Amino acid sequence: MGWHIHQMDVKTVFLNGVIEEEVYIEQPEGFEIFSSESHVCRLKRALYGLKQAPRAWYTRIDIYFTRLGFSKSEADPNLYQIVVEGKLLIIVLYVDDLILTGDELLILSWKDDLTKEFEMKDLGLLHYFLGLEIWQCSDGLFVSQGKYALEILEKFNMHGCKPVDTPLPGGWRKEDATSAEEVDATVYRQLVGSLIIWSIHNLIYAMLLTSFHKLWLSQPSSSGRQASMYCVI
Amino acid sequence: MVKPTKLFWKAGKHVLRYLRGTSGYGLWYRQEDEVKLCGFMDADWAGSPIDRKSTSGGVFSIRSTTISWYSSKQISVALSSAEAEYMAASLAACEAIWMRKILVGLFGSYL
Repeated sequence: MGWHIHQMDVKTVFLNGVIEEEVYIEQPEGFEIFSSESHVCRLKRALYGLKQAPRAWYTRIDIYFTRLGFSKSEADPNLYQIVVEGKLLIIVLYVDDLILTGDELLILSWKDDLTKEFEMKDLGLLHYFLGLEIWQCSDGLFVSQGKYALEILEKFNMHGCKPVDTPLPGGWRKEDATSAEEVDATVYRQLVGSLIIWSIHNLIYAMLLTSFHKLWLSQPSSSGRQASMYCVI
Repeated sequence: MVKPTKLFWKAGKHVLRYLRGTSGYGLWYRQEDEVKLCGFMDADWAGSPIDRKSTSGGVFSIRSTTISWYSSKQISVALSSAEAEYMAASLAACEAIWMRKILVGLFGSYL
């Protein structure tokens, strides 16, 4: 049995960030203090919409992980790992989403610790992430975009269409297409937009590795860190 | 995108037909004994009839399953197929070095 992948998210994530700059806001509507209407509020925490909110959050959680002994990957600043008594725990941070894998007991105990520090929701095993469906079974892991593909087909009333083997018809030339009869630009753009998102998701398979969010699921062999990785999303 | 014609719309619908046939596809990462990073790259030459730029492609896998892939038009015009290949090889090397770094960081230097 390999490792499982768990997911947690942080509630109202940006409110956790501590801001260092002096920022004032007007008193929020409905919460004005009577007879001191001219006063303003000084922010201690970041708010959504503040330029420094994402950075303030990252700094906060980075300090937290570092203080507790996690080491941050040199190759990716959102990848953290810790080894406790020979057992490995890997955490991938994606703004408010945390993805955890490694030793099952370590995962559970760290989930507790994280919940004490931040207000969090435990989503259990990872099923859905950035548009990808993820099935975890005993002998491996399957990643697909089937649900999203079917949604697009429904949207354009094509769920009953005849499938083809290639994404572009043979002999298709842009030059010929340009001179043909025009169609409704709005619907056409909707279609292109949906397909772009689909292909971005597609790329996310790749980006999970090649960009800021990636995850390695491994199965440690009996010789400890001679880990045999069996899976990468 | 400004003045789409019937033929563009047809091409878009063709992609939907392709999706219909492949919506069950996905990547299956099996539990295996060994981590072995493996990569391939290639380039065409002057593949774009409009600006004569070439395209770099690459695919990386660990054991039997793909973990990363790309196909992207090169930013400058390669004057020979060797030039096009060098650009593609350099891109693939960057990718490989980066992935190796992550693997070594996580699982030690056994790669």
